[in-house]
Amino acid sequence: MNIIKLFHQFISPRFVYWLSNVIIPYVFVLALILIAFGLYRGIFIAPPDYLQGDAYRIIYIHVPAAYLSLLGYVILAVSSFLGFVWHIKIGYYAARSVAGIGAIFTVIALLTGAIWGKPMWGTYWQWTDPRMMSELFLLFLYLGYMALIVNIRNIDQADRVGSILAMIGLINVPIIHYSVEWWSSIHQGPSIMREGGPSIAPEMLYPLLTSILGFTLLFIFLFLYRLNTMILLRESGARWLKEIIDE
Amino acid sequence: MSNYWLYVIVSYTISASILIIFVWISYSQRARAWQELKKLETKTGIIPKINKYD
Repeated sequence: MNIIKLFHQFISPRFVYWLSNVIIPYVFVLALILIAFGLYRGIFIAPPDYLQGDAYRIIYIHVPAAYLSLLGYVILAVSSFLGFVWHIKIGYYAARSVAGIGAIFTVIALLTGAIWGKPMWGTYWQWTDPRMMSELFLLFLYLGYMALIVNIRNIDQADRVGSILAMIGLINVPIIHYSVEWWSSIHQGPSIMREGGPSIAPEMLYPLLTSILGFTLLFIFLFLYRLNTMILLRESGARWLKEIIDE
Repeated sequence: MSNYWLYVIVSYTISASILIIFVWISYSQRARAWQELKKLETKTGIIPKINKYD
């Protein structure tokens, strides 16, 4: 019984608002340090690739962006589930907060992938490639979700309808991940999370892992910051918020 | 310097620009929300629910 009470306190907008306010500055500073360190090591110190030369250095932004585009959608779908099934308010707030961030990282993944593709594949875009098309579809899912929730006048109804779309769209996440294994693709297969360990040399891999961690922290910072704003807007009639404003 | 560097520079410039603009938008949205709450409270003494988010 106490655990349930504790859980409800933990997911209350008041507690989330307080907690996010406390940790946001630390997450932001740590993110900047790790991104700077990872990108410096990756762009200036790591050796050029024997096949791709210096073009491979796009990996230090492309891979984190692509991974965060998927993580963002998983958070969107899980938060929507919490709101839709268990009527947890913070679930709906989190879903609205994360959609824009996920869309931004999807755009970055698509753009950097296209720019990387030109010198390596001889083309910016391949309409028949399963990885590119499923990632583009992910962007449409994000945009569709955002368009839906701002265009339904009743905010509770908007949350519910948006959640249904978010949950259905989750099917696209494994499709993106396994697309290069299931179908023929010009995109390379997995090089970090694969059987037999990563296929990248350690002097290239460690900056990449640092960069992934740094951008993940930037993602968390943006998520908490926007969630904070969302709580301000949606809880604007609450007594606890009035107390904070009066301070 | 190989011409591959051009692709690298363009990639990072575009990505950094997008992220900086997005952080700025998030910052201004929060500042606007906070300002609006303050304004509403000063005017009426109570804070009505704000049902919008752009």
